[in-house]
Amino acid sequence: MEILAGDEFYFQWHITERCNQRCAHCYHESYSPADEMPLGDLLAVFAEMEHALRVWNRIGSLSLTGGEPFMRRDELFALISRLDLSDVVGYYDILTNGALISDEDVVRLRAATKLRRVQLSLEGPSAELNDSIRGNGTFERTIAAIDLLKSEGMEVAVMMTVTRRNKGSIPHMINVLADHQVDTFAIERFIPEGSGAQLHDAMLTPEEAREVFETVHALGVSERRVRVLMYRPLFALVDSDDPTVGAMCSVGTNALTVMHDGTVYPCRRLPIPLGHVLRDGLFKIWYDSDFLWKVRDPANLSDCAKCDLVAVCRGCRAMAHFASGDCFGADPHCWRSVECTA
Amino acid sequence: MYRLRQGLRLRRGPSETFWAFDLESGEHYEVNGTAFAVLEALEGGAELDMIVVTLADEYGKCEDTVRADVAELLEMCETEGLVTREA
Repeated sequence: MEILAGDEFYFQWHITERCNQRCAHCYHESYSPADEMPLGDLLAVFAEMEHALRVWNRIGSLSLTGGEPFMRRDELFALISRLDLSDVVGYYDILTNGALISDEDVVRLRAATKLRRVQLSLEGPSAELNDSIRGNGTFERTIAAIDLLKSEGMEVAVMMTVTRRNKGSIPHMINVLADHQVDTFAIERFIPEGSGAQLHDAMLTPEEAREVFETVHALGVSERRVRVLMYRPLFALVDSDDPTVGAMCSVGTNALTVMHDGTVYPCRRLPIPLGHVLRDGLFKIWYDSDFLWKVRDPANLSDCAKCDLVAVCRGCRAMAHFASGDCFGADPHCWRSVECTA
Repeated sequence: MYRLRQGLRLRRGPSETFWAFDLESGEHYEVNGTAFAVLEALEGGAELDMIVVTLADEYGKCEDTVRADVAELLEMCETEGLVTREA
């Protein structure tokens, strides 16, 4: 067993919970500036990450996000400047809804040396569908941000959170993204947590999830205009022979999420507090968490322990957590698990 | 007299893996089961004689052989910084 899998270590860093949008499916519950870290503490957090990456001899990849990260524009650009100077950061992404990105911002982003891509969120290929989830006018604003970023030659990704409401729109979505020269497209499955807990009925059934994964995989294989990313658990069930398809859940293996107040989670979608990044430090969190040790052992993962794909999949622990209250349980969308149970 | 280095944390991992972590410096070491048993015993305050008797009993070997093996192991652990020697 490796305590640190792979060559990279990923930090998802939520620098704020404030947001200019109120998406129905959001995993946040609070949009308050309370407990936000001041810039000095944010820089101390990055110093802690940098130190850990050096000791672990890993290349750092980060996502800077929120809330909406451009709600803290000054702090965001200060961090960008700092990350660009780091010899242990391979690249970072910014995850945003795009609505607050100005012409001046894009010029500054263009100058960032380690910014790989800007990832924007859309929930469908039309204003009618997207805005029913993300709010009126958001489709138009996000598309405008995509066009602005692309006009400066930046790499742009779009993330779609798949629900029962938008699952059928993925092929059309790809066409719209291609029209706007979007570089990559990825999906996440909707998990009814945070503000999204009220949308329990929007969660895919196992049959629907299988259909979505098969559709996205088929598009990923055939699509030449937009790169379709398939680095997620369960994709391996569609094609276990292709190493570019599927990815093991990163919980406990090579990723951590740092929240706006410094609380560390194993994953943003699995809000189990492991400690505080500054008070406890990353070494204590990574080495001494009983939760992380338990999740690292595939024998503890219910149905996954019996599956021949356990080394490349393990399902989504967050999905298991919110479906059954047991994050070591089966991923409720895993059709192999469902077929075994039936 | 050997002691486990201060700040070192011992953990058993899955699939019979054994680890020692320094929570301050972040250094980590994967050790074999015998080394882990010795380090655990040191952490519990055991003296060398007690460790030798326990291991000799567990593995069914003579104490002199085990004592030599443990002494060699502890020297390696000291070189790696896992244990310190006190007068």
